[in-house]
Amino acid sequence: MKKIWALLALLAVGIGARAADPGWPEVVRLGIVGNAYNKPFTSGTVGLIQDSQSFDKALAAHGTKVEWNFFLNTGPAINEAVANGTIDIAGSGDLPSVIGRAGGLKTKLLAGTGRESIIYIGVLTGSPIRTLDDLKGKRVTFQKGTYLDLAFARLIKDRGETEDDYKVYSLVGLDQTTALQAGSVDAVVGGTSLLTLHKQGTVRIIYKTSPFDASAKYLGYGNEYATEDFIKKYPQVVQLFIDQYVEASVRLSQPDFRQEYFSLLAKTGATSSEAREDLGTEPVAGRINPLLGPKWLEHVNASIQEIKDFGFIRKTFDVNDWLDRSFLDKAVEKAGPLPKEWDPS
Amino acid sequence: MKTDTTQIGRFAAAVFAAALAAGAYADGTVSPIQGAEPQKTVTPAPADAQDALGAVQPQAADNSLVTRDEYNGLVADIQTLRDDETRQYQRLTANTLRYVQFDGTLQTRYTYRPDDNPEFPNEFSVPLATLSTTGSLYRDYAGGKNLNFQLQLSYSTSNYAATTSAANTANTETDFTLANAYLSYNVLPTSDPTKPFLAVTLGQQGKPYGLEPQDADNEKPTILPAIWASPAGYNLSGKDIGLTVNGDFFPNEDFGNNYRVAALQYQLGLLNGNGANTSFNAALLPNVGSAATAANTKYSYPTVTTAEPDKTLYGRLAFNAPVDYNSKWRGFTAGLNVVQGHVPGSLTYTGSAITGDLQNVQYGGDLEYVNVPVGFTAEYVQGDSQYLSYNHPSNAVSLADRQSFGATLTVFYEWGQQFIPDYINQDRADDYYPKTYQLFLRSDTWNPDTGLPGNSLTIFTAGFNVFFASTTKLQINYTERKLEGQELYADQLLTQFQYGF
Repeated sequence: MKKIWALLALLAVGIGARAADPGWPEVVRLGIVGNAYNKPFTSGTVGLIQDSQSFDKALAAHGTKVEWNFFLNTGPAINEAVANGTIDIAGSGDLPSVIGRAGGLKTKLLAGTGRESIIYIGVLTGSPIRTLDDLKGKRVTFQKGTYLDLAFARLIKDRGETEDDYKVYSLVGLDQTTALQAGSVDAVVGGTSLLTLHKQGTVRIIYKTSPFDASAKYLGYGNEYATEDFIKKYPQVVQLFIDQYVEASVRLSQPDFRQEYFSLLAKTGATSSEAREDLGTEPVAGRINPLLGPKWLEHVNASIQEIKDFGFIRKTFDVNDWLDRSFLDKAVEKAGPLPKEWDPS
Repeated sequence: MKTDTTQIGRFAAAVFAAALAAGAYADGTVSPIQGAEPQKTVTPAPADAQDALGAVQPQAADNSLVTRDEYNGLVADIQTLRDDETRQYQRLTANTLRYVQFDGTLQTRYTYRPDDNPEFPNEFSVPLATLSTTGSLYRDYAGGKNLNFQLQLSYSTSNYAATTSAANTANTETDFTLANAYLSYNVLPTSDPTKPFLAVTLGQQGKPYGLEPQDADNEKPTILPAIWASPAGYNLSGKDIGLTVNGDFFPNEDFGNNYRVAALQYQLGLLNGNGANTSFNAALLPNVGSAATAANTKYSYPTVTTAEPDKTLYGRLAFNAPVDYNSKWRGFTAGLNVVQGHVPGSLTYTGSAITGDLQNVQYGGDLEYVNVPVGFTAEYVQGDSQYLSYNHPSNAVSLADRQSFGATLTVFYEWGQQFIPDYINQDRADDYYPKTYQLFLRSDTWNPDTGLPGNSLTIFTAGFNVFFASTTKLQINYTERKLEGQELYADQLLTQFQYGF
């Protein structure tokens, strides 16, 4: 009798640990840009999905696992992973995602993300460099192939300069600030991670972009996309992800969830004060607008041309050929009222 | 008995119910994100409050003020913690004068010979164990003109192929020695990948020749090295002492994929030619042997004297397809290699004498295509060695040539993530081990003297490798040996576990 119960128990465990339902993948592999603090978390919309485990739980119902991959070498590493067929759904900055598509990666743009990513240029506190004019000819570091590369290229172009007017060194993550503190470079072009050093008094910020002035055109943005192969095989998984993506964006956009936005950033290693200083009085909604209206797509097409003019890609493409908006449109219908800050055009 | 049955039954029922619950979860059409309301009051939420997201509600802000005493107490606690950590660190942490990294490699192997030949028993072995210290003596953060060093100790057992069973046993060597011991300097900056690189290395190091001799142990698909590269052949996988230069031209940088490839790569080397851990030793040079025997009419040297050899020159020029990461030509390389050594020598026998400058040259080419999921490597080496010969019973002395050649062809099919360079650089809460699986076939041919019949040895290998964790692999190789087309002796099934740390 004992043996029968034991066998039933084993059978129950076997049922519990079942394979994925027919038509559902065994695993969904997400590709996410890593952070400067090497934490396996992300922020913003996808951070909320991760934190709530909503995507994991919804897929677990079908026996599907979710693999969260946080790439230390950010967008270029995600391109490499997509090229090798090891990622299904990913998000990365404007430059790497465009380079990937232009280079032949078979992906489809699904939604927008990370708009108004502010760029900071920092120098050591005691540095004689105080303005962008002082920076000309100096040693500057950022990770090449990322949104920072593109933002810097745009900024100096408007000043009538090119990268040849600077000594540019491509370093990743904390190597940038280490090089700055070692005196090996004069300035770092970076994101919110510079604000920690600023708060400590090590770094002085000599320039930052803002969505509220002329420097808004240097702001980065991100793209959420999936491989064509995955979309074709598992459209229901992509729809589930985009549904949750839009709803998480709606939720985080609400003023009462502003603290949650900062809490998610804190999990990635950024301090609360960094996050608050970066956002300022700006509503969160503007940062996480996923919509891809015609005006925004025109802006993306213009940036693709710009990326080609800077020599990052050899040929352009039309964003409308890259876009599959069916998932986003359905998700927006389901989501109900959208934040007023989201311009649908 | 009844109690045992009841407990097992309750456990099984609970497991069964959990299994049903997992299968009965919402089908995903009802979003778990909807419905949550944010906390608006200052009343703290219960510790286990859940909303539709499944997450605990964010704790409401506590607006009460921190007192001066509380603040001072916190500062004191932090200071105490910092002092304690500093003391622990000083007591328990090894220090070095410069940045140093320790690493090592270990191989453990089981060899099974299905023919059950008593001359070659099945056995466990430890073919290789290395311990290295690699470090930076000077790090140039901006330019990347770094000065690095490596110091490596190595234990190895070489059991390489030979043409007879007796010679195979005799060729087993156990060696515990200094392997790499060098300084390396980046003459040109490495921080700008769009510019050429150039590095010089001085000391005991690997020989700059071909593909297989320069592959790292953790990258080689086969357990046994190519014969021509091993001590049984030209020993191009061995170490030597000298100066090498490595550089490239016309780099193509695909920033969007973190991929750099230079169209032309070159390597030059000026090495002693005597191998590792030794200065000039005439007995170790090619074409110099011990006393002649009457039966050995071709390779005997009754009295041989040699002067200090000139250094051995190495050269390699490789063309790499200068394409972006997504190109199907990524991973294609074609290379040309040459080694030239020579030693002045003389031979005297019963009144006849000959003096010569004994040349020892190897040259060859390689082709490589390493892409996912298929790839191949092919290498060919031709050797041309001069030796001093006397003929018995005519006692004629002469300068003679010996031709040799070696060739390998490996084709493989692999799948997995471990060989994607940036894929393994991830932020993970726990250890992360992407895997790569590899199937391969290889043909390895060696002929030490094409002038003699019956000399061409070929080893066919079929294998399956599992690369897991970034420095660990399990290899299963089956080898079959043929001498001039005839099966030589026992096949081998080798199972090897190699790991690095």
